[in-house]
Amino acid sequence: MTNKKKSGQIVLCLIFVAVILVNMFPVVWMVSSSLKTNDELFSEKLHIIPPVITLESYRVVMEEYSLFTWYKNSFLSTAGIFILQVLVALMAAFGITYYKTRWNSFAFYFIIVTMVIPFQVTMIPNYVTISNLGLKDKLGSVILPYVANATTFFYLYQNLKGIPREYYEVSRIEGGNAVWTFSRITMGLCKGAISAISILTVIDSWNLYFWPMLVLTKPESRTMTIALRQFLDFEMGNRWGPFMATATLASLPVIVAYLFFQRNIINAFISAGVKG
Amino acid sequence: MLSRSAMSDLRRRAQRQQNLGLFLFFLPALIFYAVFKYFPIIYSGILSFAKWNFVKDISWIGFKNYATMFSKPMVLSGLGNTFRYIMAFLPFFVVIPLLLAVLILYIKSRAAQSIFKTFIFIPTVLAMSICCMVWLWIYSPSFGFLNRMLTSFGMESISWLSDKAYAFGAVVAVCGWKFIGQNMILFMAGLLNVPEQCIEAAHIDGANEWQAFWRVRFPLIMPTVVYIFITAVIFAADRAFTAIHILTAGGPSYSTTNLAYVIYEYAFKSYNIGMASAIAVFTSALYLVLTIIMMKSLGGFEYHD
Repeated sequence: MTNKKKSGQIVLCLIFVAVILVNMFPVVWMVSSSLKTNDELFSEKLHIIPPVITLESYRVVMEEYSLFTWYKNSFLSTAGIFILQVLVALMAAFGITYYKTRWNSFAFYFIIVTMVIPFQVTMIPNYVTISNLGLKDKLGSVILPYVANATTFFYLYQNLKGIPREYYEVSRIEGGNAVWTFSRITMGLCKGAISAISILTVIDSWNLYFWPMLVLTKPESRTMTIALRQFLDFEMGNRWGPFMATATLASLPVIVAYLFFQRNIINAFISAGVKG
Repeated sequence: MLSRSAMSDLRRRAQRQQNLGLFLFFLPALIFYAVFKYFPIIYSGILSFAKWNFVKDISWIGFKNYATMFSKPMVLSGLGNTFRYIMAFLPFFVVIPLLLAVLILYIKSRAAQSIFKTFIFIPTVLAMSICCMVWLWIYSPSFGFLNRMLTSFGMESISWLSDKAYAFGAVVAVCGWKFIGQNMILFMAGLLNVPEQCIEAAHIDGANEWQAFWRVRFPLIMPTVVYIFITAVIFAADRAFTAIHILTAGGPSYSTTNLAYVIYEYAFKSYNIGMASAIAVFTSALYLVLTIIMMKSLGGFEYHD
């Protein structure tokens, strides 16, 4: 019986090892291709671990392309979206849970209802708005439409709602005004929730593709994900080596962040659902 | 002793202060949601009655966009493909992740379980666009991994992305691959929330594992199933855009387009903003119905004091 159980466990583990091998293959293939020589990339034989490991592709990307500009653009737009989106959502959630007025439910639904608005409906008008504001090809064009995010709001609202009113009463008696209460009490108590939703927001912003592609058309304004497209120009001939190097460099921060904050990320995914 | 009128005056002032406080904290949200969410819906609605190309003057053509919408082959194939995508995504979004979630919970070793979980989840955090471009290399007709494998076994190579028989499946495979880990995690969380007593009670009543799953566990994780089903629908109509744009550009002969892709083609390729807006409004109506179903069946989106 115990033997049977043991072999059952082994079979289960083998199933998962197989699933992970298939699941991880594209990622492994990306990193492996980025380390291959050009001849090896197009050779008949397939090596998962390249026989000759070279950083040539990385050198090409750094010397011939504006890799650091892309990194900077991705970094700045991600930072902008993350800070504004979380701050605006947090302020709204605080206002609704801290004050008692007859406008509270209106304010709540004003945000929640936008969950059902699909991206395509806002796409064209926002494109017009961004053009009229003169923001096209500037990073603001990527940041501003993503500040409003009902999922982030809802997640934070649920957490703020759980703060016992006594904390606020004490803070008021101690003479703390709303801004002080917000920045010291609320943000302190919801540190976990704020960091969880922040991680999701950062990953989502870093990975944006469709909208930046529409509004960032100049080479010098491109973010990492958009810049990658230029390696795949069929007329110029695909430059797979440098492409794989850039793709690896773009994915690395996300994978490292994931491995560090794994538990937080997975928990945030479960409680906030899939962000959009 | 304060007079009654002074009291109510004080109360009114306190209430006004409350209103002002809420207003100030809500103001940034009010501005951003008004400009980038509410204005666009209204504007899209208006534009759906227009003929416009971003540059020339707008001319108003009434319901013509809506009337002619379903006679356009591109719109019809986009709509049809969206439903085909929904059906094709179900095994990858629901069946396989649920099966894996059930299996992984049978693993006794906590360490092994958490290592598997960590790795299976990795594709979720990567950018869809980058993944698709890497897959483009795997699918590549002459140098791609898949065709190299086929030819090394002496088989003919396949044009995965330009052959009508394979392109749709190739897009589905990439989208499915991206979501298996994420949905497995969601199912795991759902399954772990089922109280142990329920399962034990079922076993005491003589149910075997199989019956306990279908009669007890599965009904209790129904909200997760509904949630994932809705995300599959939204993905089919909307988010799959990235995969389609990069892998096939909607081809061959519109066989891989979805609704989002059709809107994009009309808006930013043929600059027919009116038609694009009309399709967008139609898509939103579709979403609205689905989201109401989701919110009704899941609950928890109401405001409570």
